[in-house]
Amino acid sequence: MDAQLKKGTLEVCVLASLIEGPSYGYKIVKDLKDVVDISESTLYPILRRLEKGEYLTTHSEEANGRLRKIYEITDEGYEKIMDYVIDFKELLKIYKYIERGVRHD
Amino acid sequence: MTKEVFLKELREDLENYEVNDIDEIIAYFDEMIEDKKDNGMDEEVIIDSLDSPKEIALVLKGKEVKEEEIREGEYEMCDGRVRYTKEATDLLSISIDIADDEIKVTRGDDDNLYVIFEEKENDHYKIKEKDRGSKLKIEKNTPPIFNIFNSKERALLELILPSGYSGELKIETVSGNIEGSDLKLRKLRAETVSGDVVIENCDIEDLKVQAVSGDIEVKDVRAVSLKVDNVSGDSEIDVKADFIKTESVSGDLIIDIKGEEKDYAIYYDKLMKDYKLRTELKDQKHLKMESVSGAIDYHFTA
Repeated sequence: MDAQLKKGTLEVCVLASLIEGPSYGYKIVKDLKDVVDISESTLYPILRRLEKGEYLTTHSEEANGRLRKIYEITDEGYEKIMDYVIDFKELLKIYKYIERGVRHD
Repeated sequence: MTKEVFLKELREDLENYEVNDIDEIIAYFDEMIEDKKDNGMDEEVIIDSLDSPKEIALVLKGKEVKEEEIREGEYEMCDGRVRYTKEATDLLSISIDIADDEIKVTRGDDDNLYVIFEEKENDHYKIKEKDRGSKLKIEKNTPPIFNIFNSKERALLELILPSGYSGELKIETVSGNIEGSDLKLRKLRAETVSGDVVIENCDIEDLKVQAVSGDIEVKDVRAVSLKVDNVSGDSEIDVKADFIKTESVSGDLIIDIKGEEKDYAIYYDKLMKDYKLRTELKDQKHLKMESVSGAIDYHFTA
């Protein structure tokens, strides 16, 4: 996938993994494995950026006898997802135009 | 590799690359590895599946070294003036890249460096820091993503930089004129395509001026090294400098050097006519002039 396109998409994707509820590093990577190509190393800076942008908040919880960092989406985070969905509908129109000439065999 | 070794190496690499928030990063990977172990994976296999510590450090360092918008608190705004409040010693280079606005750089009475823009269009400037605040970059931003100046009509805006700046200043325009006066700088680069450049009454160790069709005037300037490049514009130079190199294609070169002719090795190259008047000795002051079809006229004034 084109790098530029991917960059914005990955961030929203990570946010989307928090829709059902707060999550943590390992679970986010697992949930997204089938959806998008994201490694543990790639996830970290995305989470940092989202936290800086206040699209998610973090806190620590005890789990299995150790400290676990929990990520939770904020209202701004939901808005960011909505913006993406709206933008994408626009993109879909353009995509349909571009794709019209491609043969499907 | 065990988790202990992996995390130890990761910490070392992060420190070497001077990445921020190392403890958080280590905690993140520690947690990730432990969770995978709890889910039945073998520690060695987990470590193998991760990027190497060095790769991780490089990626995280790379993500950090991006341009950051200047935060409020690092600049103050008042009446269309932006005062950049960082210490001069923290700045290594300033680069200004604008298309057709006029730009003047001068030293104020308070000894601060004043960069004055006259906006031609209702566009916005973006001031960015790079390399953890050691480089300042000012560019026109079309379309505006983040605007600091919001002007509805043509405005005269000033950017005030700290005095004592000893880094490099680079100004690039397309059609805008560049004017520098009363400056004391270590290194100045002024480049334009069709704008004119006037550098006046300055002490600049390393000065380079470039134009394509604009005219260049360097007057009352003291420099160690001066380079002037012009294509079709005319260049008028009046300097005291040790190493002078001037080039032109069709524009004229008029050069007045404050100094003794005997101290200089002089190269005068007008296409097809190569005058080497003296052999250049290492470290000797020199004056090199090249033109294709423009006239060359030089004088020494003791």
